[in-house]
Amino acid sequence: MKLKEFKLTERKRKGSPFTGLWTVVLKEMADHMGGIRMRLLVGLILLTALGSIYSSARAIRDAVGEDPFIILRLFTTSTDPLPSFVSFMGFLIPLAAITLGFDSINSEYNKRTLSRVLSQPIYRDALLLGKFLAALFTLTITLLSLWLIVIGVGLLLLGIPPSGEEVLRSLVFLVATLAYSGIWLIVAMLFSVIFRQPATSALASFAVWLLFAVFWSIITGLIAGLFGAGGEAGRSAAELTISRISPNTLYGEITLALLNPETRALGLVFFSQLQGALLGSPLPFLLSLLLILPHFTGLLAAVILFFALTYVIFQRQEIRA
Amino acid sequence: MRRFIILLTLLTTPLFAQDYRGLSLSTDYPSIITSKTDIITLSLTVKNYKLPPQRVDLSILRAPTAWETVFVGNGNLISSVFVAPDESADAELWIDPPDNTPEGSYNFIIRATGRNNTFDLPITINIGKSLPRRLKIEPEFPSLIGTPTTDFSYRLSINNESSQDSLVNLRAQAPEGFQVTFKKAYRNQEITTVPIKAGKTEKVDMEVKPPANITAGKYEIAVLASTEGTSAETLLTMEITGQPKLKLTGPEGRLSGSATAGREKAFKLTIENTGSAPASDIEFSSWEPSNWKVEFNPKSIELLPAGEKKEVTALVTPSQKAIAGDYSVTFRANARDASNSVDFRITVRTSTLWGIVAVIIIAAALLVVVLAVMRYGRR
Repeated sequence: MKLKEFKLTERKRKGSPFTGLWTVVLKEMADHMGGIRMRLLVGLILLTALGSIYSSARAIRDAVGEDPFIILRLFTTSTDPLPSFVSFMGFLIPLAAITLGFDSINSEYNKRTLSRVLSQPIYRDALLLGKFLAALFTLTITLLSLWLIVIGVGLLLLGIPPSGEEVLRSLVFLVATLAYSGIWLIVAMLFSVIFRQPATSALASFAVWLLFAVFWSIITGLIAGLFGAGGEAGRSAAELTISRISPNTLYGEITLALLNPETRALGLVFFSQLQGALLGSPLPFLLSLLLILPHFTGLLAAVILFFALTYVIFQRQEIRA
Repeated sequence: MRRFIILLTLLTTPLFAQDYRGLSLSTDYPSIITSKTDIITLSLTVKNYKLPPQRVDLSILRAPTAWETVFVGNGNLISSVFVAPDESADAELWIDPPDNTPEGSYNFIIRATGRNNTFDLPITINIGKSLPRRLKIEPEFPSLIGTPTTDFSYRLSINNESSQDSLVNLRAQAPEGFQVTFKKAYRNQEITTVPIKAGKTEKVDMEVKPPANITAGKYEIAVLASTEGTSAETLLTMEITGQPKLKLTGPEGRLSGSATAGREKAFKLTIENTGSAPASDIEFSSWEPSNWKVEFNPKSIELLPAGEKKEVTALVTPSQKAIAGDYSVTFRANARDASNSVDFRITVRTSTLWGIVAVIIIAAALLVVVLAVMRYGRR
């Protein structure tokens, strides 16, 4: 009977699920761009980014003699009161993503516009994907302009054009940042589907973010202490595995491998592996890429799976209020 | 006759100096034979024998025309000296012959005039004849033996057997490719000329560097020391014994390569004997990080004649657990009297297995979405 029903529904639902997708994307992007919320966020991000880049550029100009990856140092150098550009990004990007996503579905529901939109020839599939893509594109535009600012400030203050490898590495870093922001975006959207109140979903999203950003390192230590076996090395390995559940850890390691080309391994390295290794020599770009591939895959797969989960919950919801 | 008396006086002065009263004016060599036409310096001594202290005027009684003479004392022009009883005073007489003075004998009479006494000193200067210049060069050890990498050092004594200071030019005739440098003994500066005072000997070190690719054998080097009008020559020999020299190079001269962790990779090395004698019993060895494996094919070479090269394959297997990036491995070739090693930089690539796994994981996640769309889609 179930199979029959499935076939029946299959027959009933026709046409592409993407009908109207781009209409939703464009409309949502226009809303984001024009909204005061996004302007505030972008202003905040730009200010902090400019501050950290300017101070790191000055520090580099004072200190560094010869470095093949001087533009990449702009991203990672931190000067005493200000954290580095990448740690600012690690902090602000989830904030922006959550801000864009936490009320995407439930605000429509509360304003009773959801049923009005869906009465148009637009499937829910297109609505959800469109909202996700619109937020992602908005973030992309922000990140791309940030990236250009970094390169521009680097040119202006250091007077050195970035090398091809530096451009490649920083672009991949951009993509990784996008995947990282995608996680927080889809989690916020998931909560916006689950909870009818935007305040609740915002709170839930920030709670998850806070869990990973602040408390996860404490939790990993505790869990590893309880279950880790096999001495110090085993415990460290367990701790590492658990900490890698956090997207923050994954993003941090991706950043490290991409922006510090000298990074040769992430995680535990035994002394015997270092024997004869020429330390300090940069890893070729493709090997760095290979190093972060598992992390990147993890982030991307998590985004897709969370999207699937949100999708399923959204599709099964009663939306007529 | 008068000259004879004065000469007699001069000769006999020490004999009856006790009784002699009066002045004396003397110089070491009152008769000089020279070829020089620049200033001739005579040192004069005026002595007072048992006379009261007095001033003694010096004058030239007779001199050839156009010859200039001056008395010099303590750096000044003088015309008289002061002598206490039984004391002497020193002065110099500078005689400047005119240019183009013809050969011949020239006579001077110098007079010392005291209060009551005078003393005449005749001087003869013979222009035209002089001691012939002669140089002598003598090596300490004329024949040395060594390998091509030895620095051969010969010590030469150069003797200026003439009455004049000379500037001696040094030149060596060595086979092509030999580097010859001259150094003054115990000094570091390289020289090409050495000034030698009349009658003195100077020691000069000659260093010879044979070219690196020289074949074994006996070589001769002629050293020529020359100065105006004369020269001296000596023949030195050096015997170079053969020496093998090994050179290990990477594929196409590169010293880097890449390998995948846990997988064997072959590097074609070249061993070359750049020395002058055959190298025997060449064995290959290596230093590699622990858990790495390095094997050579062939393991050893029995004989490699001078100037020839051979290929050796190094099979390198990085450790399974090697991390990505550069490692250093040293390849070494050891012959009986020669060895060479190269540091080889190997970039370890990690397995690309993860790439496939990543694609599968993403595909699985997308499959979940597709299934969800199929089940719940288009509502």
